[in-house]
Amino acid sequence: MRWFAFLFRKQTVEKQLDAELRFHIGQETRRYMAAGMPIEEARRKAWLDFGGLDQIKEDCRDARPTRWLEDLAQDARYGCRVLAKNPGMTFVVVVSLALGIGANSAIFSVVDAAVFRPLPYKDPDQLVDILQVERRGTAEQISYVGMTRDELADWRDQKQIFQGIEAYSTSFGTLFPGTPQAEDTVAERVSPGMLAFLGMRTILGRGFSPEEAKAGNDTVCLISEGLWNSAFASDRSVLGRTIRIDNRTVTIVGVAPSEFKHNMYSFTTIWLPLTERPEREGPEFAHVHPIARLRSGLSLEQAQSQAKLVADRLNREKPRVKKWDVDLDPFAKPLLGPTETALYVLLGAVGFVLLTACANVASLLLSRAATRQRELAIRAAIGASQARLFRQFLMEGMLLSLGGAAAAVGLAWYGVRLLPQLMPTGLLLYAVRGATFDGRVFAFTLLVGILTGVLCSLAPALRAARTSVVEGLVVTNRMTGATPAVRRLLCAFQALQVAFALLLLVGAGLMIHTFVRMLRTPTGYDSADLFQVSLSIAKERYPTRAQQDDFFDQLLSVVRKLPITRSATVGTGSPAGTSLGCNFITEAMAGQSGAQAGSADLFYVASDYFSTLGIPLLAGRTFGLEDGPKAPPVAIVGQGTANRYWSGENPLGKRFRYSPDAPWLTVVGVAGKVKVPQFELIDLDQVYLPLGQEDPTEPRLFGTLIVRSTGDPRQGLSVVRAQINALDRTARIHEAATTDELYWKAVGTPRFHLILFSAFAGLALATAAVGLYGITLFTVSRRTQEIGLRIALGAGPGVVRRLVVHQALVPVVLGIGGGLIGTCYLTRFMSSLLYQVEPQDPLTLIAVSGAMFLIALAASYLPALRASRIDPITALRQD
Amino acid sequence: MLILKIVSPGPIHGYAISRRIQQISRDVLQIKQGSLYPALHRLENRGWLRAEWGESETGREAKFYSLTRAGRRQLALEASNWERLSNAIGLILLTEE
Repeated sequence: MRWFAFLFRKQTVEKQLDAELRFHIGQETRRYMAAGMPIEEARRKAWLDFGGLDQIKEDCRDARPTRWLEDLAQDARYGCRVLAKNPGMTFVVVVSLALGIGANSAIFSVVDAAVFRPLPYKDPDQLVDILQVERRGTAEQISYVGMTRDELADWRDQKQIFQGIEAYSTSFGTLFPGTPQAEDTVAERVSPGMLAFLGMRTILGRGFSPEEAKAGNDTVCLISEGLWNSAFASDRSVLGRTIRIDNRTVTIVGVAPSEFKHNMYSFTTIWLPLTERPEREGPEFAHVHPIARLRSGLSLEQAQSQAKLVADRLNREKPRVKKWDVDLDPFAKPLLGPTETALYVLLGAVGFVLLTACANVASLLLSRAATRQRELAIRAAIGASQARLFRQFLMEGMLLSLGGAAAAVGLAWYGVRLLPQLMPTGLLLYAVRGATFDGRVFAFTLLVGILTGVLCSLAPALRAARTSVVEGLVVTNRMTGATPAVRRLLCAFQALQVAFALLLLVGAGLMIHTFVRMLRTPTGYDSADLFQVSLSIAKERYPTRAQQDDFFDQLLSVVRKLPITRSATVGTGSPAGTSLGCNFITEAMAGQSGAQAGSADLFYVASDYFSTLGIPLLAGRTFGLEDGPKAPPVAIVGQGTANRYWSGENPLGKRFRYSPDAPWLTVVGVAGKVKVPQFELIDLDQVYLPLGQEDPTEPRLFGTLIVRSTGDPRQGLSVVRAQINALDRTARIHEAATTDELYWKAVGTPRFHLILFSAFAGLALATAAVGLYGITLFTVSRRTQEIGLRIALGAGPGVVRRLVVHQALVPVVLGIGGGLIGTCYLTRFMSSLLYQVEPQDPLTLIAVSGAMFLIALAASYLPALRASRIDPITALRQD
Repeated sequence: MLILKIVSPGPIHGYAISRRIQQISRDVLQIKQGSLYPALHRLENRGWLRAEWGESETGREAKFYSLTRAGRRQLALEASNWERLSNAIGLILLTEE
């Protein structure tokens, strides 16, 4: 209770203290008077005997338990006044800290979402994938085809290994949510218990019941939180409404939370029940992906060995065409590989930006502390302890940095929303899209704010604590500028800023170099005036394969006859767009044990694909009419594939196949290498198959039309789109763009790195340059008398300029040196982000160092000019 | 400890405590009178003394201190410690041969 009085009823407490002490003095006075002293003398003696009233009062105040709080408040108030007296500096500092801290928070939110945040599932360590692996003969193929429902039931019976197994299957579908725009989306079918299995609950409504997993009853669905927000405006009456997916109408029974994903990067918007029997015939509907939860206490290795035994037993008991082995993989593995590296690199880079700002602020505060010598000396003289002075400066730094952190919260929140727009495509997109500004990020911002405050104010605070009363009050310290220790510190801070800025500039330079290299790399095909349209047709309108083929043939002939068309072809994909993929084994590999299957991009193409795209045929022939459905299966391989699997030999006539049951494909031609820009720019190899030999039992609903136009490809695009529309209004166009546009999109990831790194580097560079300018200006103003003296003694303006610039450049040179040493150690972390560029690329290093030096020169030249124009008379008279 | 002992009989204000100290120590302890008060306040904040404002013998308002239960315990503790200490020192001084 007394605490309350001490904090909020200060006046009363003070009055009481005063009254108590004066009472004492009054009583002592009376005693002396009673002993016969005259009143004046009695009073004087009583006061003397008592001691200094204010000193005693202060000691009484110190005895209060809330003293530290009052001191803190006092420091804060004083600090605010000091900062308010210098609004310009305060503003600059708060802004630069806000930018630094805000950028860090934004990037942290991305990294947190991708790497640190715990998975949203209940007991995620217990969850595993069951992968069925085929091993036949001596060559091992990994076919993750997934299991059938019967196999799932067999595994479900293995209660000694698995607590439970749920399953899902994914497909792409078209959603008609009630708005005019149809939408391509990922749709999933999940077994009824999946929500509870993962430890989640619906936001609205319910999950599926086992009844709805029966065939015919699966007319219900769950929608995602995202879809609920976007298409239904979070309307709580959405339950019971219907939605159309492909050609089915289903009723919404629940809204799933946004964490309901089987991996972090799936964007499923709608779920249907996984029916006990496949809903349609065909291999794509037969398989499901299981998620299993291990029995408690069972380790992965134990489960793995037990599962292998079970697999052997099942293979014997239930003879199947293929013999399966089983692998248990931990579920939802964290993000691996270059994306993770990229995130860490970005985090490091943005950390350096903040450190640059910190060094800048520290040198600013330190130089300001040097001008406050008098104030500090007076405070020390009237009794402020070293600790008190130290605390004062620490408080000022904290005020600045917490102010910056507060602004940073807003910046980071905005930045997190902005990031996905900078990053239109690529793997990093998924990490970025998952980022949110939540409590963890807020806590991080606060923490960084506090640390920044401590870092920035440590040097000036230590300096303040060691204030010498004599020096401060007597010596004006103007002749020499500042003490050598302070000058060394300022030099060190400058050098640090330059070093950090250099590091970031090197990083940006490397990314620019990489990007330029990537753009300059010959793609292997001629993309001039080239565009493509990916489309799909409805199965209802073209039920048979023959009708589907007819449509595409008709489309191709129509397009070929258009005046804007120079040449046109059709296929299943294109180099800059999407493509299928395949794994295969060559004849030579089939004989070896332990050979890894090869992989390649797969394209079904028409015969004139190569000529239309400008891909040279290096050997053999292209496809022709003779490569029909009944003819021997043939393939054309890209040169990269040929070199990789048949190096030194003539690939023509060699054979490969997808699986031991698939027929052998014979290589009849070799096409030039085609570069596919991906995150790491792996030279994925290409395999081309004739359209005519596509599996005739498979429906052909997708196709990519590739056209080289005579004029502007964008015009050609709209003409072709009109033609498609005219031919079949219900045909859906998925992607229509010029090949150049697609390529540009595909290099989105290195472009993103480029943008971010350049932004960081620019920020750091600006900070360092402004800092250098400020410090040089400050030094000049402190050395005004000395410079005036020199000029009076005959130094010309050039000499003075050189003096100032030379002194200013000392930390710059140190910083560049230090920064270069730093790059030797640090850029190796970036090597996975670079393309054909060494981490110690000399061109970049030299260019950056030179640029840094020139900018520093400019920043220090302006104050130097000022110094050379000092009027010696006024300077020497100055005090 | 001295202050606690002096306060223990009953409510007493700061001036009276100061007079008592002077009387008991027969003016041996010469400290600035005012430095009593920070000590009093410290003891009060520690919870060993309780204070109340009341009317002094001269009619003026004064702050009266008395011992709390915790204060009584503390006094007993300190007194016994002192006794042990002084006994020990006395023993050492006696065994001089």
